[in-house]
Amino acid sequence: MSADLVSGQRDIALVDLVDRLLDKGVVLTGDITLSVANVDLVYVGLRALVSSVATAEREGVPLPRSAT
Amino acid sequence: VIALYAITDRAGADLPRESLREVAVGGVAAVFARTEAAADVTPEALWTHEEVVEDLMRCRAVLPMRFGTRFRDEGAVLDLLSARGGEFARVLDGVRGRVELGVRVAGEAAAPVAKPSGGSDYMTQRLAARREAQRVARAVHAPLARRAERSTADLAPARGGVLTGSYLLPGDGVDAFAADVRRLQRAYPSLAITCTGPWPPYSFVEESPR
Repeated sequence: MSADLVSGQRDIALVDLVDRLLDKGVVLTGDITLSVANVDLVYVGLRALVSSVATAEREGVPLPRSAT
Repeated sequence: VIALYAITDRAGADLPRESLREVAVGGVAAVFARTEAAADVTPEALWTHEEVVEDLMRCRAVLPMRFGTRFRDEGAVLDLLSARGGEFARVLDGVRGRVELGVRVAGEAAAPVAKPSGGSDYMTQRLAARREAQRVARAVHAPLARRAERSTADLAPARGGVLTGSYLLPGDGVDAFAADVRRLQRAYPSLAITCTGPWPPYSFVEESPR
């Protein structure tokens, strides 16, 4: 997304960006090399997410609370 | 190796970056860049990938790839298009001219309850709170889904909140959708409703069930 919509916070957008790029999109299997199908990469992705959440909270942006 | 960005509905002279290349089979093209680097997951890398796909989306229908999709060489990409080009063409028909919007709903769906007097009381309250959260999530999702051509809804998001939804709508329907979101936010002031987009159709890259 390039344009600001209802919420202009780039950090909130990053949460949705991570969800889409790492969890959605076309997944190819078979005779193809997938470099994201490993734990390390998912871990790094979540760390990026956590830091974005921290930034958003510092700026007073309401975000989903983590489940108990 | 080759880093694949998207499957698009045509090839042509309109590739938005000098580093981009494409191969085409029939009417379907795969857009990629050559790279030696591993897929490094940083916010900057994700945004850069996203910008390439969005630039492509301005001139073509696109099916965005999951980040980090790598191929050995062009031959492997051609094999992919030969094997699945018909399927890709049908899915591209379904997303042409459409964009995806994301909606995330957080907050307290249920009214505060009295301090539980015991374990079973606690469980009863937890169940009631969950039911109420799902009721509210459906109440937010339903009018947005009616506005959209297709939608997905997660009523128990792994990252918390009560709803994570994705909505596919025509590019000229974004303003009306955003107005709906604002109306829902006013109707449910205890919730935090955020809407992001327009995105490429990440959540709608598979053939829709008939």
